[in-house]
Amino acid sequence: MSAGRVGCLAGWGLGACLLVAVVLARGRLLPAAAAWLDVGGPPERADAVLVLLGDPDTRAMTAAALVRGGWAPRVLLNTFAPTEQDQRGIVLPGHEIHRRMLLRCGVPAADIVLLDNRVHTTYDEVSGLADYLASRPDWRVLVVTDAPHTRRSRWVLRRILGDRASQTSLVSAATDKCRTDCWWQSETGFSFVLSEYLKLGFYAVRYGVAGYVGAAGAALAVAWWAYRRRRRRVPAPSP
Amino acid sequence: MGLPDPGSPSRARRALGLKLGAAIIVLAAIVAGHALVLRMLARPLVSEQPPGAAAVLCLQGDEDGVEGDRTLDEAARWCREAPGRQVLLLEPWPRRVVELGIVPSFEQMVRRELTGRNISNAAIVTLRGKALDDWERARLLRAWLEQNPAAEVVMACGRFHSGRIRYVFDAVLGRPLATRVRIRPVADPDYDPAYWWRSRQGVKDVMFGWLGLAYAWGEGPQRITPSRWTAAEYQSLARETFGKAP
Repeated sequence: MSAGRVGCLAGWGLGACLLVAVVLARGRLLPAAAAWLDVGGPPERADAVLVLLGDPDTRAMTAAALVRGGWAPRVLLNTFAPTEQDQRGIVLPGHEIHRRMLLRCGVPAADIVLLDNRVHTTYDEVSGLADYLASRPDWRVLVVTDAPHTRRSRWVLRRILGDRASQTSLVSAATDKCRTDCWWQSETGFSFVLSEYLKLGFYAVRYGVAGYVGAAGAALAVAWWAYRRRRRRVPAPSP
Repeated sequence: MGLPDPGSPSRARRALGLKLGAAIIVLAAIVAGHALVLRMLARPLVSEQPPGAAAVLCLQGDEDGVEGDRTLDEAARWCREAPGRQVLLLEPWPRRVVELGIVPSFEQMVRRELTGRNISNAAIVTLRGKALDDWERARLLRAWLEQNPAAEVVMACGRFHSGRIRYVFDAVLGRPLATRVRIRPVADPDYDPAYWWRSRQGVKDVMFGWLGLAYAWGEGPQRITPSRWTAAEYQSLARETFGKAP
């Protein structure tokens, strides 16, 4: 049997073993996959809490608890770009629902700062924060979002704020949509965790360098393949 | 003069040229036909049947209101097209923003919008049951279909959610009842569903459509029902977690 064939069989064998190991260890790997997404930590005293827009049932309520607990004196809220339903008055704009939830949970209206921007994405929201902090260089900010969303948020914070990202701390809001220990057993948990991984990949390509790295990797693989073929074709020198 | 040696450099160059040419043709075909491929990718997510003799239009709520921005217009048009038509609402689990009175419930919102479009309140019927997902909505509808053996229903829902609804309703209702439910997908006006990949919302709808459909195919009804905290429970949890700043 040629060396190439032995190598190929070894590769397949290793892959099969890895697959079996993953299946056997899924009880530990799956919770770890969700836990990896949660990079939130305990709160520190700060100048403001930024609520990333999304689920007001969790994020706004958590931000209100932080303000009422004395961790920060005010809440920053971005404003969503208008949708068809809220333009027609069928539903309230998302940021307005967050604002009302904060008021309902005891945050005074004067302590809620609406940032006048029209955001669509987490990336836009952090850009909005960067603009706001430009004239406040010493401020520290607590950033509140749902636990599985914290890793992507941290990536965006580091990408946009650079060194100033160290002046922000992520705080995870408990979510009833997704339990870390059994997320794959509920549809909302399944969608939440997998979509976060997909979005992380998208962000890495769209806003990061993963696209360039991937293209460079593909070019290297093609070059390596061509080199191997060429070497195989060159006859060995006769003794 | 004979044929070139199979291992000769000229033959190898020709073979490499042919492969490169084939790769370029395949790449060009992918670039030119990407719209077809992407449309095919979204096709399993869509299900649509003609309404037939149905006189009841069923609406379901999602987190942001009613699924499909134009659904309420569709529902009003539906009621006006023939006398005696009804709108059936499947009550969703109330979110904390509803519980605290910050936003109206799904039922309140739909009644307000439809009566604003000159539809009588009597034509709107709510099936109570605080459904958490499509499986629970299907069970609610099954009970109603069993009580109304002559009724046929058109289910209005988001376009890329319709395939999953068809799958779940077929599974829960079984053959004779499922044929009495037709699906009517309602497109999002913010993007053209034939070019869904050009819009962020379209990409999100297709992504979540596939995740939901994959879960339904692979798992069926969810094995655990996630706990839902009430507003008071959540506030108390957040207070205990973070406490007071030192």
